[in-house]
Amino acid sequence: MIGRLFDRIVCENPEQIAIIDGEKRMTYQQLYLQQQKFVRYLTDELKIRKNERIAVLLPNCIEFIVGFFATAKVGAVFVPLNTSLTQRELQYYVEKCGITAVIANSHRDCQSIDISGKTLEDRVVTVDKLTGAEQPESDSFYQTKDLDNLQVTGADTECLFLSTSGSTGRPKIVPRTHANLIAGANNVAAALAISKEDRFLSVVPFYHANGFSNCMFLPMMSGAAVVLMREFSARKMLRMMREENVTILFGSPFIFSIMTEIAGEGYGLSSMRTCFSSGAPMPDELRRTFFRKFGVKVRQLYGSSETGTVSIQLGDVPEDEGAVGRPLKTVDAKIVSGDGKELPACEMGEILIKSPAMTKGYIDEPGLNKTAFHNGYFRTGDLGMLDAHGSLHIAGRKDRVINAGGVKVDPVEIEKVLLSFHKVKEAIVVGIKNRRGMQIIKAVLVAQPDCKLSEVIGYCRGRLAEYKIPRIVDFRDEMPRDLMGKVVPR
Amino acid sequence: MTAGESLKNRIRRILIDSLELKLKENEIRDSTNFDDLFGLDSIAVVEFVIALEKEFEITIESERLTSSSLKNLDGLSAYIEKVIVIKNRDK
Repeated sequence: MIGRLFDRIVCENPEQIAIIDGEKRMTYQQLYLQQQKFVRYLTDELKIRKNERIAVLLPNCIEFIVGFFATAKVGAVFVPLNTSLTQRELQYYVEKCGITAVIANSHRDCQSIDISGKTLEDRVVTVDKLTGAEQPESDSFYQTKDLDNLQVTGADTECLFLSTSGSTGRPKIVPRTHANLIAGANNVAAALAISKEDRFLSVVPFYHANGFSNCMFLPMMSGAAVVLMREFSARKMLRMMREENVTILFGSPFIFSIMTEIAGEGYGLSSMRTCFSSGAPMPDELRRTFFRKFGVKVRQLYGSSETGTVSIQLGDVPEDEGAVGRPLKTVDAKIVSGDGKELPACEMGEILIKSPAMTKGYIDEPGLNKTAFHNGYFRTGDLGMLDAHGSLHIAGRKDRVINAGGVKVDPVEIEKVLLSFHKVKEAIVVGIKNRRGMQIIKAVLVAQPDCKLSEVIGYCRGRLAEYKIPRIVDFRDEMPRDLMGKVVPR
Repeated sequence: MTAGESLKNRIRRILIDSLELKLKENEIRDSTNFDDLFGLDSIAVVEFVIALEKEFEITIESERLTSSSLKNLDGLSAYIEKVIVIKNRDK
């Protein structure tokens, strides 16, 4: 389904710029040819069949986009993973997702992964297989006679697996179908009136739900352009926004905070029509300062890997850090109490979401799915309310998940690693607010007297991605506890 | 104190302050690798770079901080010293 829709976008906009990568410009026609080349490679060389799962270890780059649309065309599942994951963490995903091939920059990125007993060289696709410009065959470039035998992939076929953290000690895998992704993109495109004149700066990593859906898939399905940023650099970002006339920016409070810090007063971004912040609450003071410096309002967006984008703050922006706008057109939100009763407006409870963009359930988690998905709704684990105008407000989380700069981190996963170190007797991991109002990871440890900070950090580094390693390690003689003896993390 | 030592102490203070580390200055030796002390993820790198740029009024490429030569105070202070010299020469 995505394959056919993308074909139509290409036919309608062949000369339109699709991707800007530094000095390089790629049109939709050129992107299509790259995709076709890779489709042939997947089917003829790797013999990839429908529903096979392909892991992807790439930054925001042309090859990521080519890889996704080619994978979707053959009916396989694209599994983008955080490029900072350790080899152990990667192996978890390989087994959990049933990965049979990997797309990476080099074999070195996944040298010790065991993929279904096959040799690594057979199953790792390096980016050179996805690159290499091809000239169109005169006016018939869009004809894919030799690929017409590919069955049209059904709407309910899975095409994407996303990873999300909770507080269960292990990441969960969220499958999304062709229909889910298209419904999600349609919702946001309609709400924001996306056109092919828009240019999206893609600074949020594509392996994140928001980065994938709103910074890559949405522009590609709209005939718009993606301006690529492989790594975040605030000065480079400001320069690119001006030079490339970026119109839309999806970011996080951290990104907007850094932009505000380094830009002078009245910096201005004349091409920018709108910015969206998600992943964590945006402080009101930051929103005001950003508007003063850039003349653009930052609007809060709320969503999740499981549901896609749920709501966007449109119209007047209220002075309320938790306000995240009305649910989008086909999204239904309700608030329930602890015993499951639906609550009226202005009462706090857990936020439940129903959306055609939503997953049907986590991969291989029957017990968790029974509690997380109920009567067609997803229990987000977020606490909040709907106000009298139908806008959502977020108050916090039910569970212990840490929001580290917009990325969810499972404290239980980190605690398990710390407790497996022989010198650590007790460990508790919490998120504490820094001066930007964002959470950083703190570990409180009771350890042997000879346990050094460098040993703890070094131990974590071999087992956890860098962003999960604690910023602060607090050694204590004993854990802080309340009057009932329960550990009180602080 | 020599100019080099003064520079290292300034960097040490900036490191602790910008990343809100709960470390004493004497716990960060000149040759201690930063990533032996805390998770040096992309957010930490950006925070540290912005603070260094402000303090010394220079521009630092974020990628440089992850290169092996700049992973401790010895390497980083030598790099910043060079950048300052170039900046002053080009004025």
